[in-house]
Amino acid sequence: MARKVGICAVAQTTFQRNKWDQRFQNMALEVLESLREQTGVDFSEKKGIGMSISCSDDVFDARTISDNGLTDLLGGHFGCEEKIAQEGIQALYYGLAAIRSGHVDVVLLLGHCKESQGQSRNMVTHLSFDPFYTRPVGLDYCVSAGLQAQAYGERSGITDEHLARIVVRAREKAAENPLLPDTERVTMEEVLASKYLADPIRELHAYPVSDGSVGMILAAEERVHEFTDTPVWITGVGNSMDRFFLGDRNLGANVALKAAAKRAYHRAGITDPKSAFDLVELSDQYAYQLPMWMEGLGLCNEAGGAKWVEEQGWDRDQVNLSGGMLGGNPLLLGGFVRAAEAALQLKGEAGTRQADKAKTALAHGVMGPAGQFHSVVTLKRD
Amino acid sequence: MTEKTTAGLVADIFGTMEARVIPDGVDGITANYGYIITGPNGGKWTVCVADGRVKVMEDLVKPDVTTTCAEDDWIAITLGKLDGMTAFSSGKLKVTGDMGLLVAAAGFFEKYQPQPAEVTVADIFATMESRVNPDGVKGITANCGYRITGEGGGEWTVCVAYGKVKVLEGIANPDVTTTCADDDWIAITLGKLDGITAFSSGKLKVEGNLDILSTAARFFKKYCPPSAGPEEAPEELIALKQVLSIPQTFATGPVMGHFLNALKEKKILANQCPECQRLQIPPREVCAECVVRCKEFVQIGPEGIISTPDVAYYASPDPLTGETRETPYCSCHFLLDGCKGHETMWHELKASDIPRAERGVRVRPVWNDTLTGSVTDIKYFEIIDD
Repeated sequence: MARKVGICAVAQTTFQRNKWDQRFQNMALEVLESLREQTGVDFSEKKGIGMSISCSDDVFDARTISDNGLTDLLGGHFGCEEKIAQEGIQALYYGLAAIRSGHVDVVLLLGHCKESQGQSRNMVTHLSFDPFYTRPVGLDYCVSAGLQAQAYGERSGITDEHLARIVVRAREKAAENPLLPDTERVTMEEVLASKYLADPIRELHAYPVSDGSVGMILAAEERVHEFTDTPVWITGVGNSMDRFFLGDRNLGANVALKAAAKRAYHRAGITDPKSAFDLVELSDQYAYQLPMWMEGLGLCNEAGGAKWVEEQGWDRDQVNLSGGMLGGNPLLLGGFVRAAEAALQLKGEAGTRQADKAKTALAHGVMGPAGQFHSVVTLKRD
Repeated sequence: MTEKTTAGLVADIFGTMEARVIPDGVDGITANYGYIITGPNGGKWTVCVADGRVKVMEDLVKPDVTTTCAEDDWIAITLGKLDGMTAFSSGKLKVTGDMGLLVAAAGFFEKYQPQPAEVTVADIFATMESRVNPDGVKGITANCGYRITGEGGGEWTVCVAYGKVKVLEGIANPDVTTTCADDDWIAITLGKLDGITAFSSGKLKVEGNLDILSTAARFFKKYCPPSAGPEEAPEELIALKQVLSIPQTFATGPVMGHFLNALKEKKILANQCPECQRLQIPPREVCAECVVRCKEFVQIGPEGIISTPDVAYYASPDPLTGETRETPYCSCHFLLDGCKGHETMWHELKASDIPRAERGVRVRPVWNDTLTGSVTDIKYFEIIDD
């Protein structure tokens, strides 16, 4: 039986629209120093961090091999250093694998992104398409999401009204989260009147541009207590990659998310996901995704997303108490922050947004156009 | 022998028409189409269409419409390389008689497939002068003799001088002579047999100056067999040209930003690790070795010595303008006063100082007139003359 892996510490910067006074190294350093202070961990050869995993993106950072900008901070020089260019929650998967394999005991995860740096976030996601076909026609993640929102809306009966309620609630939670100081509360009317980006997606339905950094210390079961009294155990992980060409996909059917969830639940021994989690953190980059991902994860009934919104199921199921991605996290870190928020809740360190008696949680990350790649992580405290 | 490429092709186009008839295309048409194809391989033909059948006859026989056209243009039209209407409007194709009949004629026949003609050694040599690769023969003066054995063989001399090539029959004052069987020579020319492999396996024998032969591979553009109509020519594939660019605003932060601001006052700053006392240039948020925050800034230089010089002969072009900076330029590590060991600063040495660029030579920065807080505020370092 492979050894358990625990999250020992979590640190985040605030996530703000434009951290014009900091380059990404400054943001990441804030996180690194917090992690070291919380755990006392160092980079010493024998007992310290055995592997550093950064999460960054070459195009967002405007440099190839973007982790090179961070190797000072990662203690990566002459050490074991890895980079995630996928969504940051994958760093948990890498770290878990490294520890379970027995290669290392302690892993540093450190992600950063400055979405404000490029002229437009959509210019970056536009580059993820191929230069031969999809790029010239004009796809980016927002336009792709518009297609998916249409496909899902038709299946689930999600209306403009439902989407507005999702945004109002997300902004409400985000406003209570001290890490999202730029948040403005919005009204139903404001959401319903906000301009279209890609029908049915309106401007206020899209996650705001933000800059920030997030990190974690993971450790093997037998060493966890050197660093924390309140470890959060990673009980299951699963991911799944859907096809790249949107035309190949059933956009409204959550195929990849269901596969990712199935893998994670199987590893965690979860048979009834609806009753398995005390709280859930989902990467809702666009408003329609909140009920859609709930369906895909099996946390509400298939095609039951609209009803779940009407019943304000998010309160009962404690979904995105942080404000979610609609509160404002960079694309690259959405799932990573979800895992960080879920871990903070289980550790009892979520402050103003702390849930009652939460013992189990699910964190979800997504990357690629229209939910191409999903990751699911299940967590538990003692 | 070059005639082989088109010789017989016009006759073959007309000769195969009866076999290429599309029944639906000629259905209901009764007419005689006359063709006068000019040129050495041309001739006159009449295509008689009646009762859903086609009969092709030599010479003009009571044509209802007559098309006159040069043989090359007729071949091009038949192979689809030249549009019939374009040929007509540009005067390459002349029509007398009932022009309306010609509209239907485009649908009479299945596409013409040229018969693959045999590749001959003679044709390979005969086409060499027209296939010269100017870059490949530049600066070369040599006579290469070829003794090709077998039924289709013969002897030739390829004379290269002043960027030109002359192919003579027979062996004439060769600097190097290659002996090879006709089949192998054809295979080498078509790229089916590698020349080096042929040489090492003894299929190709060489007497004389072997070095010349190593350049000979670049003398000529690729040989296209005479049979290679458009169907056999490789499809010309499209390469997309795009410039990727996303306008960026890079925050400099309190550390890099402080360093850049100091340049405006002609000050060069390093920052110092509180643990190992090492200096970092440029200053960064943490010590690259101790991973601790470096808060202390230290002014260094501005004079120092060359630590490692290097001359760069190739400069990366600007992706947007394609422009490159002047080369050569001297990329240099300088050890500024106050620094030690590897605490070097990377910048540029003045181009005119390149001949004197040696380790240990003293240098000073030369600043631009306008200082903007950029690392290029230092124009370059120059050698201090005693």
